Parts: sequence; C-alpha cells; structure tokens
Amino acid sequence: MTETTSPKTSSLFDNEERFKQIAGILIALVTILTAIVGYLQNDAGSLDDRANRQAQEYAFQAMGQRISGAAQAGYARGDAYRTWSELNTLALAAENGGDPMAAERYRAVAERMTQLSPLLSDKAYFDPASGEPNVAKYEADTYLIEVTALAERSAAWFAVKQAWDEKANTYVVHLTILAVALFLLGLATTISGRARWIFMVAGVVIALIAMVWTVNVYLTPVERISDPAIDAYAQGVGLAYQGEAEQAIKAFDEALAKEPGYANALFGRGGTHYDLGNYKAALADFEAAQKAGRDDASVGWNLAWLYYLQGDFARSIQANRRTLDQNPDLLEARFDLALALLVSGQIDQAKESYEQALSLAAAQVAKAEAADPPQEPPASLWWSFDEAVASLDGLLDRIDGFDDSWWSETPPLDKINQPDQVYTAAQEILAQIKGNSVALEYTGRPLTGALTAQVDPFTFAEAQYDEDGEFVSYIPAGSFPAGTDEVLIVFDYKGMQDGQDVVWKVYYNGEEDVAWRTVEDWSLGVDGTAEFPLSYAYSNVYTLASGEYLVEMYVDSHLAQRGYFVIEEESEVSE
Amino acid sequence: MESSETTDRFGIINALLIALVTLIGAYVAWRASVASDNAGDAALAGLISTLNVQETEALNNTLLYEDYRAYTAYTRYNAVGDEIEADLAEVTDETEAEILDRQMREAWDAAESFYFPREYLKRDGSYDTQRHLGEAMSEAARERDLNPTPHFTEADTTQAKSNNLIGVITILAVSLLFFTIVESVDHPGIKYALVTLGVLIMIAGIWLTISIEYFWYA
Repeated sequence: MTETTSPKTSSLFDNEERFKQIAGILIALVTILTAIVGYLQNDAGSLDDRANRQAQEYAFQAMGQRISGAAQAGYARGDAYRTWSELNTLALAAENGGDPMAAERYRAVAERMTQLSPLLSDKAYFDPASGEPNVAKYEADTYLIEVTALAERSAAWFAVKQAWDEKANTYVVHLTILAVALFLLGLATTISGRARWIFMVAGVVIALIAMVWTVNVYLTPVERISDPAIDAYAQGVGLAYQGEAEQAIKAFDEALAKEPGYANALFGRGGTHYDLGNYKAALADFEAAQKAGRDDASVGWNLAWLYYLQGDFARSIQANRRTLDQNPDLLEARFDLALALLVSGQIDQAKESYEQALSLAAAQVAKAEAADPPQEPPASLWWSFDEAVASLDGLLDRIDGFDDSWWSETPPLDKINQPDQVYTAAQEILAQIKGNSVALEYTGRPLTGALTAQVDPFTFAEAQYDEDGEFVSYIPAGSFPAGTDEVLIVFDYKGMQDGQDVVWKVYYNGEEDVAWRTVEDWSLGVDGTAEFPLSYAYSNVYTLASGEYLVEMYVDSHLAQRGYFVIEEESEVSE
Repeated sequence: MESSETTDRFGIINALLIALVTLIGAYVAWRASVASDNAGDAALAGLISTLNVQETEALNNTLLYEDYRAYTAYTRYNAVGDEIEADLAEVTDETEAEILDRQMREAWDAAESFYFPREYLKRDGSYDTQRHLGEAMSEAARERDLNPTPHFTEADTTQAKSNNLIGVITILAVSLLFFTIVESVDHPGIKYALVTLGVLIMIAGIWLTISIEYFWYA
C-alpha cells in the first residue's frame, strides 16, 4: 500500500482558491467605488441642471425687466418730457410773438404735464428751471441697475453650471476607467497561471488612479460670485451710466473688495477711470480684467486704444492684432491698428491696413445688400468711419500744435514718429475714408474715380438786407456772435455737372449733427457762385448754438471742400 | 455528510441573497431614473412659466404705455382747453373771444379724439397705471401658467428624491460586498456574522427606499 500524503501547501501566487477570494473582494470593492462615483456623477449632474435652470431664470427676468423698464423710460422721455418741452417751446414762441396770455396758458399746461411721470415730478430727476431731465439717472433707478444685477446673476450661475458640468463629465470618465478595472479583474479570474496576477494588479492600479482622481475632483470647489458683489457692481454700472464716475469707482471698489477676481467689475472700473482721464489706472484695470478671464474684443480694443494714447504703439499694434485674431470683422479695431501703424512711422503698412479696413466695410455693405431679403449694414459701421476720421483729425490737430479738444484724444506729440510724413499721409487717408463713407452709404459701393469739380474754399458769412428785406451783401467772418440764427456758406465752383449727387454734412463740436445732413441733385450749372444756408431765420425760438462747426461738401461721394466757423459764447466779444 | 449539506444550503441562501440585493438595486435604479426624469419635466415647466411671466409683463407694460400716451395727449389738449376757458372769462374783445372760443372747442375736440380705457381714470383725473397693469396680469393668469414656484419646488424635491435613491444603491452595494466576502471566509461564525450584517444593511436599504419613495417626499 502506498501512503498518500497531502500535497505541500502551494504559495499565494499558485493558490487558485485564495486568488479567487481576493479577486472577489476586489471586484466587490471596485463595485462599491463605482456606485459612489455614480452617485457623485448624478449629484453633479443634478447640480449642473439646477445651476442651468437658475441661470435661465435670471436671464428671463433680466429680459422682461429690461423691456418693461425701457417702455416706462421711453414713455417718460419720449412722451411726457417731449410734451412738456413742446409746450414750453410753444410758450416761448407765443411770448416772442407778442401773445403773453397764450404763453401763460402753455406754461400752465406744461406744469400739469410734470405730474404724468416721476421723471418730471421727482426733483431727483428734473429741475424745470434747467429744462433738462436726468434721463440717465431715471433709467438707472427704474431698471438698469436691477437688470444689470439679474444679468450678472445669470452669468454667475452659468459659470457654476459649467463647473458642475465639467465635474459630472469627469466622473463619467472615472466610471469608464472603473469599468476597465472591473473588466481586468474579471478577466483575471478566467486566466490560470501567474499571468492572472498581472491583470489583477493592473485592475487595482487603474482603480486606485480613478479613486484618487475622483477625490481630487470632489474636493475641487465650485465658486460663484456672491450676490453682494454683484449688487455693488450693478450699482457701479448704474452710477457710471449717469456720469457719476467717482461714485461708480467706489461701487466697483466695493465689488472687488468682496470678489477680487471679478472680471466685469475690473472692466467697469477701467472704463470709468478712462472716462475720468485716468489712463494709467484704466490700463491697469483692463489688463487685470483680461488676466481675470475677460478676454474679449471689448477689453482688447480698449487696451489697444489706451496703449495708443500713452504712446506705446508697439503694444497697441499687438493688442489690435490679437483682437482681430479673435474678431476679424471688427472694423473699429482695423482702423485703430492702421492708426497705430501710422503714428509709429510705418506709413506704408498703415496705408495698407486702412485699405483692408475700407475693403472690409465695403464687404459688409455688399453682404447686407446681397441678403435675401436685402438688409441694412449695422449702424455701427458709420460710427466706425466717424471715429476713424475723428482720430485722424485729432492727430492732425496735435501735429499742428493744438491741445486736446474735449471730443478727441491723441498721443503726446513727442511719441509720434516722423510727424511730417504722418501729417501728409493722414490728410490723404482722411479724405479717402470720408469719401468711402459717403459712397458706401449712398451708393452701396466703394469710392471710385476722382473729383472732377473744383470747389473753392468756403466763405462763411451773414447776409445783409435793406429796409425792404432785399439782399444787399455778404458780411464774411470766421466767427459769429452768440444768438446768430443764420450762417451762409458761400463758394465758387467750376466743372460741376447738373444731376451730380451733392451731400452736405455739418459737424458740431466734432460730432456730426445729422439734422443738418442734406442730399440733393446739383442744378446750378457748370460754374459760378453758390450759397448753402445753415439757417433758423424762420424761427422765433431757435438760434445756432455756440461752438465749433465744420461743414463738408461731397460731390459724387468725393470730399470737395470743408471749412470751419465758430459761434461764440455769450460772454465773448465778436472780432 | 451533514456538514457538507449545511455548507451547500448556506451557499444557496447566500446566492439567493446576492440575487435579491441585485433585484432591489435594479428597482431602486429604475425609480431614481423616473424621479430624475420627473424633476427635469418639472424644471422645464417652471422655466416655461418664468418665460410666460416675463413675456406677459413686458407685453402688458408696452400696451399700458400705449394707452398712457393717449391719456397724455388727452390730458394735454384737455388742459389747453381748460386754460383757454379760464382766460375767455376775462376777455372783453368780441373778436378775440370768438377766436379763443373756437380754439377752446378745438382743443377739447382734439382731447376726445385720443382713445384710451376710461375705466382707469381716477376721480382726480389721473390714470391708474397700477390697476391697468394688475388687471391685465390677472387676466393673463387665467389663460397661462404664471406661477413658476410650485414647479421649481417640485423639481428640487423630486431631484433630491432621485439623488437619495442613488445613495441607497451605494448602501446596497455595501450589502453585496458582505455577501461576496462570505465566499472567501471559512470560519462559520464569521460567515454567519457577515451574512447577518449584509442582511441588516439590505433591510436598511429597503427601509430607506420605502421611506424615500412614499414618506419623505410625498
């Protein structure tokens, strides 16, 4: 007989039973981990949905409040105040026309009108003696601050939604990794030999990685801009809107004290510093806003302009290019890039850049026209042209030795490279931009051809009449006394053709007064002398306001002539 | 032989318990999914209601100011007529009186040409904008859902229910762990202790499921 003896106990690596027990426990543990991650993923998903809902709720409320508020403010400004203003104008006209009783009646009715809206009845908004209500304050108090707060809350909750969404998606990745770990552990139980340990170890390592990653994601906080910071920011926006810059900066400071990285508050404070002329502080705030995450065209464009004003043209060019990389269709940035190239002495590149800007503008007009049904180009297109021209006009004034006027901003003269060449180029470019602006607006096409007519420099004059009201002569002047109600623009011309398009533009203190815009077909023959009146002579009430006037004449979209005159302030003495 | 029979029976019971936990887990997962779906529907209903509110308010404000504009013009011409009437009493010249009389009637006629809902005129002649808006909103509330709050409350409650049911699955997974570990233990005392723990946790999971489903969020 052979004695059987029990086999020698096998090592852990060879013990089938022990291996399966360990594998079973590991699979159960990974299953629990998967359940936990599944719970976290579901929780993150539901918080994502909740934040999304909250963001949408605030967005809807902002929209509704804005529409309601705009309707209320629109009535206050467009109806109640306009009626009050109209009645006072009628009263003045009646008084000047020698009917004091009618004037008194109109004033009494105007007084009744002030009860129709808080814009007129509340002293905080309106002093009848001044005649001008503080519409901005009314709008800010009525809806702007509230709408701003709602919109900010919506944006804040949307950021929360994105953070939870990212967490939820990452948990899904973890679940996928854990599924792989489970697969490897399960596979290990089907393999014999020591190779199965490799699968088991791999499964365990992958599960551990998933676990550590899950903990890391779980511990990552989801932050939201606090409501008090948002309220302070909204106050700042409302105050800036009213022109209360100092108070607005304080409100923005308060918002930033509560939330130091509040990008919109940094942007708002930067804009307010800019309005106050604190360019260094504005620059610092815009740069901080960009670092805090607000990296959009508005910030880039403002930064580029501030670098330009400070004379840092290289950084201005870089910032404009960066903005254009993000927004190739931003016409304003194209013009600003060209301007920065010009003042840095890169004349040829500047001219090329201006050409590109004009081509872009022409393309935008053509695209609008070609749409089905045809559309209009954006209104800001014409504003872009005006701003580009104003910048060049300011540059010309600076090189001519003038100080900043309140409507134009220019870098210091000592920063401008090759000012003489810049001056010549700027004059040429200015005429090109102006001509293209008129051509695109009235023909939809870029400027072509050349000016065939010759229009001599304008003579600004008052007309002298005899006792019978017959015209006697012109009294030319460069400036006219306060209270002048008519200035005639007198000029000699040659080479004109009947039927040519003639456009007149009048700028008051640097900005076009579109009420004076005139478009007509020429009908005064080939050559001679003509006059264009700026006149309130028909009126008992109105005169030309004191300030600087620029008059421009375009023939077939080409700038034919431009000239300046001044209406003096009441205290000044005529020359 | 008896020991082997007991071991087999214990193994069968353990397997049945594993199957039971799995079934309960599947049921809980289904109920959690249903709750989550209902929460989504309620949230959407709430958002639609919110949109309704804002649209209705915006529209009613626009309509209000249309009427208020007409009232403004009415007030202006009415007041002009009233002022002329007051001056007429002091005028002695017949020609002037005739002109003023005509202007007064023209002003009052012009006032009457502006239509607005007269029911909102107060006794002092002012316009009751609050009443105008309030009635319009109440009228709209009869036809549209203008109360989002109950929907959002339901959405939050139902989502919390879903989240808690997902949590129960985690608890059931722990129970499953104990039933699984039993297979790798030889000592009978430890086996029975593990099974008991697993059963207790499973019962806790069932109790939680019933509480969540029928009592906590009812």
